[in-house]
Amino acid sequence: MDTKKHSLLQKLSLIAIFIGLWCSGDVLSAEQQNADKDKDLFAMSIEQLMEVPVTTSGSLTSTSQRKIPAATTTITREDIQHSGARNLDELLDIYVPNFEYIRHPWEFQHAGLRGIIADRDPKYLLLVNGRVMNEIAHQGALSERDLPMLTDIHHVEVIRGPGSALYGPGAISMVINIVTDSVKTFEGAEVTARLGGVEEYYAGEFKYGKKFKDDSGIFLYGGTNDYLGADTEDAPYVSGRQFSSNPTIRLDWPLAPFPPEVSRTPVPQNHDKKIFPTRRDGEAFNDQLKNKLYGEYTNGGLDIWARYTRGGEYCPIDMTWNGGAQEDSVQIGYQQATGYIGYTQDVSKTLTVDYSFSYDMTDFATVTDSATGVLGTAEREEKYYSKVIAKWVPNEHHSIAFGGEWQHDEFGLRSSMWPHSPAIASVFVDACSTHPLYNPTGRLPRWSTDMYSLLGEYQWTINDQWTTFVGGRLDDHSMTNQKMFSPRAAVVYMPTEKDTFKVMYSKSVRTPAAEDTKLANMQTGDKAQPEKLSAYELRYERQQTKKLLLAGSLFYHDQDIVTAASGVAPVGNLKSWGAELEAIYRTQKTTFTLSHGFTKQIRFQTPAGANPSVGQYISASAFGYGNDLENWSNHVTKLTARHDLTDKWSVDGSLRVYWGFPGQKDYAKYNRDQAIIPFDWSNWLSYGCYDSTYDRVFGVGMLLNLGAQYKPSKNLTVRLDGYNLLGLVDHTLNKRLIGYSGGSPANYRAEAPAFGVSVTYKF
Amino acid sequence: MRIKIHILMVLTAAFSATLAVPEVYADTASSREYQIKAAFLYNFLQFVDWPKEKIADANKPIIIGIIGDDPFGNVIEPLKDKPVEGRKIVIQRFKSFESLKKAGENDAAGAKQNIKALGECHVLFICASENKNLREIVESVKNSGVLTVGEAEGFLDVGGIVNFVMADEKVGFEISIASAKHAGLEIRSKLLRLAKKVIQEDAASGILGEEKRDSA
Repeated sequence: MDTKKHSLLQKLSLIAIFIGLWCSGDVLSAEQQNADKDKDLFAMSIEQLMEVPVTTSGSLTSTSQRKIPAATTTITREDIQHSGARNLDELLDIYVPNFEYIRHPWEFQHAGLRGIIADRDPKYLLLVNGRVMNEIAHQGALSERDLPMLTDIHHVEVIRGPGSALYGPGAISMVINIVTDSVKTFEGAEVTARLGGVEEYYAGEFKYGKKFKDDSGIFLYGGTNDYLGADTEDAPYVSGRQFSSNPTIRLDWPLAPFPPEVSRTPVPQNHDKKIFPTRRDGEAFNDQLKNKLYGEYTNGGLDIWARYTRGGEYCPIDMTWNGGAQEDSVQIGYQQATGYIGYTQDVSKTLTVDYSFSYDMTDFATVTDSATGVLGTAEREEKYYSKVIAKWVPNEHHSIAFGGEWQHDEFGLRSSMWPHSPAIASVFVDACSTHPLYNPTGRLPRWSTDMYSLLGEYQWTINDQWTTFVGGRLDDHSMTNQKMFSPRAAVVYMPTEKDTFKVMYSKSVRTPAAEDTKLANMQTGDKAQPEKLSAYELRYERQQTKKLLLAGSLFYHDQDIVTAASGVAPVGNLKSWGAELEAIYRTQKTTFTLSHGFTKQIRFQTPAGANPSVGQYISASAFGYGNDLENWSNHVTKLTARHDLTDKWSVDGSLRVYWGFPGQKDYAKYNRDQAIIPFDWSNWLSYGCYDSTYDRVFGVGMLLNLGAQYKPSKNLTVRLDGYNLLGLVDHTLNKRLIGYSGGSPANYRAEAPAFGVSVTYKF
Repeated sequence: MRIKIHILMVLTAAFSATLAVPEVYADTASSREYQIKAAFLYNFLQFVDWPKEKIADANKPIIIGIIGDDPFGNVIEPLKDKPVEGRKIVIQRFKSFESLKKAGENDAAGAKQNIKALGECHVLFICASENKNLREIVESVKNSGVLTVGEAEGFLDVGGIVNFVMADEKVGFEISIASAKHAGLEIRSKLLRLAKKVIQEDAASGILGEEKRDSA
């Protein structure tokens, strides 16, 4: 650790000590405390309350929470605090029904919902204050997810299901909208210090809000973090190929001799944690600090904000691939800077128009060989985006929204993180000269794309019981071979005050990654075929009592899938269905939430005549093995609980259970059956094998977190969290499957049992 | 496992804080809409003048009644800790107007008592589940100095005083000065200025006039 970071840690610690000592004295009198403004809703004036938005991201036209034509999850600031979540992925994993994330052999971990997950993250949209933040050239949703600084977030809205009708291409599985604090929701100053043990990190955050007049002010936020991660003893990386009870199974590798004793390691009851040393789990990209800065100015209908994030991680790779080179890994890093201007114009009592313009720069780099610093990808993209939406509410029965968007993207720009390198991308460079995508120069060309979009929605409140929504979006992208249409229709029926029925249809689209579309266009002159998903959902919600809310969803998906490896055309059609059950129980002192999500493949069909081994890691059913999704746990159960013991003390916890990965097991079986063929470089399947008795990796995963919170005063909050505690008993319970294994079956990384402490003080 | 000295320093700092201050209410995540409406109810208390006889006893609390299937849940509880002009706020819940009437089928005196309890509220929020009883409820308290608040279309037409409306994803409200006057309440001009719609009473002809406002 270098001197700069060490002094930062000292500063963070000193801040924490200062906060503690200040609070432990009689510095603030009761009168002063009472004079401090309560910055919650009850402290707002009527004028301020009239400016607080009620609805979430689930519809274009204004509507109440109950009528939103989608299954949504809202995670409040208090939920975030009580979860102890160390980053956005963990936060979503704890709270969002039927959401999970998996690791990847050489890329950033991937998040998915309802069985829709990919070997990058382009199948959902990640927004900040309604602005799409996805990296378009390669990765998809990349920024924000790994940052352990979360106090700038007011709440997170998740639309569970397709969202292209509202937000455009890319919202195949879900839309995640991070809504930050602003001067409307936060005034004063607050500091937070966090640190983690075992999975080691140190973070400091500061936020400040100042109102100039009733409807104007500024909000500022800064956060930094040193993420060292957890070492292999606490977070072991396990490859299925390490184990074999059959001495005849070959574990060949032409590059380096493979330790024969390892190739014949007996299948353990509980794996030996010391088999392969590797990089620490979660270790920050390039050993650099992760940062987040945000500033917003609001004045009436004018809203201007700017945001900067920097992050990334080491992604340890399967050591059995490369001859056991120790601590080898790929690193993925990013930085993103976004500027946004929005203005709401009240044209009349019934008509408002929203204008917005934004600029975004995203830098993305992968270092494919950490020992030598060889770059796989280093590129920057710039996005210019403008939108005009008019909302007309002629009376209480009708509401119409319509508008247009224009997006211009520039690619192939030199990365400012690696200024000595021209813009390069791994899809244009491949170490194998026989690979069809081999490009000896490795350089990205410079190119741009444009997308023009029209969107609209009509909401008809027929009466107190019936409401309908009809809408859609048409996108014309310069690199797709067809215009993309994403319609949506929904009927909401509320027969009683307790019951709500929703029938919803939506279709979402996605353009393949910009690198892939450009490469295909260069080679063949073709444009990309969009990925499409049609979703049908029936949802029922019942406010059973004042304290108990029950909900259930039944959904069906029909998806033409385009994967990163398949290029720019669908690799097959997937039909799946699923169900979700939710229960939320709240009293003044106690909150329980319980959800269970089930997703099942009905059929995965590759195009006639296509080689199913090319580019698809969706299901081994294409090869005649089983009928499940490779990278999904069919059953996902989540429980959260929170209880106020006293006015000052509260305890909380969460449990996530993934009931096995049958699809991954099928794929591993298929790979193992290929392993008897002679080794063939060009066929990844030929070197995948593991012992058939080692199927524990495909079993249940359970992650248990517990926390305690102490609020000695209105200003001070102290938390202690324990993470993945079941791993203290059995490491395999904490496993995160490493998906998209292809030829590397049965791999996982066990997440470390760890603890964290945080201190927050509001001035 | 590496445990750094910083961990000990932070822990020491954290647990040395021992200020004793009134509790911070844990803001449970109920419907955002009703959090905002609860805050509006609190604000209304500061811009309405009740008849002298209603507030003569300074030791009596201010009563906010909720009749029907309560949509607020826990989010209205913080009002109990926010006195207004030295008076505590009490939240009183009534199951439904039908249940109040049913109780009176066998006990007329009891029914009268129940209805009287409605009239003792300073603010009565009528939940959407009581939409079919709006007129009856408003009639039952019209001479009792109660600020009736609803969230139904046509609430002001049946004699309600304040009606919540939704517009542009935000909560607003309409006011009937006529109904307020019948209840003996005086609504301050600041509140009237912020209302989306104000129903006046034409003193000369008795015809109710409606004044619509531009969006705030």
